[in-house]
Amino acid sequence: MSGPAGRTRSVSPKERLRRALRDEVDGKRTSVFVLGDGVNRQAARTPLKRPTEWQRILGAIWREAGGAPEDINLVEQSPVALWARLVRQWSAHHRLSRARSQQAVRARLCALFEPIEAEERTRRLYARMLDGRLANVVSFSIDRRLVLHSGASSVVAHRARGSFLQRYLEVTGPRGRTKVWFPYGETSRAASIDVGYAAYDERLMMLEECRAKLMDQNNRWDYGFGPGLLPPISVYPGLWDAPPSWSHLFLCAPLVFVGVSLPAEDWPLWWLLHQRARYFVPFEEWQIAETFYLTLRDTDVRHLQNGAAGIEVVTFEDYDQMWTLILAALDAPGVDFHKGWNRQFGLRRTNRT
Amino acid sequence: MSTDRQRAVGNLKKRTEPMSDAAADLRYARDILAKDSNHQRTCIPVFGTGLNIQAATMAGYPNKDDWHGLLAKIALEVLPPGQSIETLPRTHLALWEALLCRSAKKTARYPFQAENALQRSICEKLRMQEAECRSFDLYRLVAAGGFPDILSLNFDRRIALSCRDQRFVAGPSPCPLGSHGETLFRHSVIQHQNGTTTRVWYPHGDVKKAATIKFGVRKYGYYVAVLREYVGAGDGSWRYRASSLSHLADPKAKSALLRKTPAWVPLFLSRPLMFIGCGLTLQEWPLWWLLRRRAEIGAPPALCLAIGTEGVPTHLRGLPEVRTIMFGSPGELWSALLSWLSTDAKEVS
Repeated sequence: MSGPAGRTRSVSPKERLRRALRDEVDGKRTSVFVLGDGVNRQAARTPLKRPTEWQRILGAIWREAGGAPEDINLVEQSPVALWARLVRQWSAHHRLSRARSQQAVRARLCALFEPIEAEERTRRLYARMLDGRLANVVSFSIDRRLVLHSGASSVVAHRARGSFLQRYLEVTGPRGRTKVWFPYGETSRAASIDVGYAAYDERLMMLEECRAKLMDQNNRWDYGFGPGLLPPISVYPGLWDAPPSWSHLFLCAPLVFVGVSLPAEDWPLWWLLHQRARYFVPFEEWQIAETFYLTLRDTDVRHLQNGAAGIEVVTFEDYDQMWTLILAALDAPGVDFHKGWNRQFGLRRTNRT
Repeated sequence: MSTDRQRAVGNLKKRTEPMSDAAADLRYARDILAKDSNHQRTCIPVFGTGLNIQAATMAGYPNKDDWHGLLAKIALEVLPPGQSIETLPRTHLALWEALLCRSAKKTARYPFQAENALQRSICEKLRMQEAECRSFDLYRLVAAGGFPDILSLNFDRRIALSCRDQRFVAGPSPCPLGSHGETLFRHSVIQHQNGTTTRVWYPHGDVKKAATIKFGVRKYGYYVAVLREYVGAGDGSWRYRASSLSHLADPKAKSALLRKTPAWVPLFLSRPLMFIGCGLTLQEWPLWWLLRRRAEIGAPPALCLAIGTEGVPTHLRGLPEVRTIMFGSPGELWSALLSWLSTDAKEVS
C-alpha cells in the first residue's frame, strides 16, 4: 500500500521498495512477493551461466521423450514454449494423445523434483524469506522448496476448490503463517501443473470473471459503477489476510516480482497486469499499489521497460545486492500501516470485530 | 469445404510432412497458392501492415503508415508537449495500454472511454489514409489474385476499395455473439468481371465501425474467449451477468444462426494459410489461439513469409503451427509472391 507512507515519486525506487517491504498490518507484511526460479538459483548460489534445475529437469524429460539435446534451447526459450514442445515431443515419441502426454510429463516433473525438494529445503534463504512475516507469496515455480523449508512446522494444502486461482499451500513457521499461491500448480499434485498455453482461453475467462466480481463487490452502487469504485487502498485491507484467490492480490496488492521472467507470451498474466493498471487509472497515486520488478542492470527487459502495465523496474548491480536489500527490509521491524490508514480513512474493515 | 478443397488440403498434408528445408518450403508456398480445378485458389492470404507499406513504396507515396507510426501520431495527442513515444513501453500492446491509461488520466475519463476515443481517432486517421491510398496498384493486384477469400489484419478496407464493384456485409444484426463477435462476420465482397467474387474479412475490425477494432489487452482477451465460444468450446456465461443472458436465451437458435452465417473462423481453421507482411508476433493472441487450434485438429501448418537476414525469428522456430520462409528484403518477398501468383497454370491434382 503506497500513499499514506508518503512514498512519492521523488524518493528513489530502491527506497520506495524498501519502505513498501516494511509496511505491515497486524504484524504481517502487506507486500506480496511474486517469486520465480531465480529464488532457487539464489538459494543454491547457482552460477548465472549454469542451467537451473527447472531447465535440467525439462532437458532430462526431453531426452526421455527421444528428443536430441541440440533440438531444444533450454535457456533461450520461455517456460511456456518449452512445456508445449515437451508435451508434443512426448506425444510423438510415446504415441500417446496430447492429454495423456501432458499427464505423463507432469508425473515425471513431480518425480524428478522430489529429491531436489528434499535436498534443497535446508537452504537458508527460504526460511529467511518466510521469517519476514509475509502474509502471501505467489510462486511461479512449481516446486515446493519455499514451503518445505526446514523451519516449517506444518504445510497444509488448500486445493479442494480446484481452480487454478485458488491453489495454495499454507506454511506455518516460527514467525507465523504464510499462504503460498501456485498459479501454475505444484509438485504435491501432478494434475495441478499447467505451464503451457493449452488452457489460456479458460484462464482468461476465469480471470475476467474474478475481476468483474471483485469490482462489483467493491463498488458503492449509490454512486453508479465507475464513480463508486473503491480504490485499491480501500479494497486491499479487506482481503489481504484471507484473499479468495491470487488474482485478487494481483489486482490490488503491492507486488514485488523477484526472479521471474514474465514472458510476453503468458497472455493471462499480462492480461491481469494490464487490468490492474487500468483499475488504478481513476485514482490518486497514494490510493494505488506499487508494482516493482527486480532485476539486474544488464538484463534484457525491453518488454517491461518504460512502465509497461505500470511496472517499475528496479535494477541492481548483482543478485547479492538485490537479496541484501530484500532480506534487510524483511529482517527490519515492520512499519504498522494501521495508524496512517485509520487516520485517513477511519477504522479498516476486518473480519474480526 | 468443397471436395476439391478437401483433396487439396489432404494432398498438402501428405506432401509436406517430410519436408523441412528451404526448397521444400518454397515448394510448399507454390503448392498452397496453386489453383484448383475450379480455377480458384484454396489458400487464404493473411495480410498485415506490410501490405500497406509495400503498396506505398511501389506507388512512391511518402506517408507509409506502419503501426508504430500510427501509434506515434496518437501519442502526440496524448502525451504532454516535449515527451516522445520513446518514453513509453516498447511492445505495441503495452504501448496501446499506456496510451489509453494516460489519455484517460488526462481527460478524467475511465480507461474504456479513453479506449473508445482512441479507436475513433485511429479510424479517422485511417479513413483519410484509405481515401488517399485506395488506388495503389498492389491492392488491385492482390484483389485480382484469384483468391475467393482474403484476411486483412489491417483495419482499413483498401483492398476492397481498390476495386470498382464492391460492397460491405455487416453480418447478422443483432450479432449472435454480442458486439465483441461482430468482427467474425463483417467483410467486403468484391465482384470480379469474370463472375467470381472475393471476400475480404477483417478479423481485427474495420474502420467502418470504430467499435469493432480489436486492439489492446482487454479486447484481445475477450476476443480469444469469443472465438472459443464460436468454435463451440464454451458459452458466454462468463461475460454476461445472470440477469442479462439475453444472448443465450435460445442456444439452438443461436447455433443455427452461427452455422448458416458466413464467417472467417471456419476458413482459418480448415484452409491453407499464408501470412504476408505480418510479423506474427506472440502478442497476436487471437491469431495464435486459432493457429494452435488449427494444429490440434490436424490442419497443415500455415506459411509465414517473413523478412530478415538472421534466420527465422526465435518465436517462430520449431513450431507445428507455422512454417517460415525468410526473404532478405520486402522487395524480394513481394516480387516472389507476385511471381507465384502470375504462374497460375499449375493445378492441384
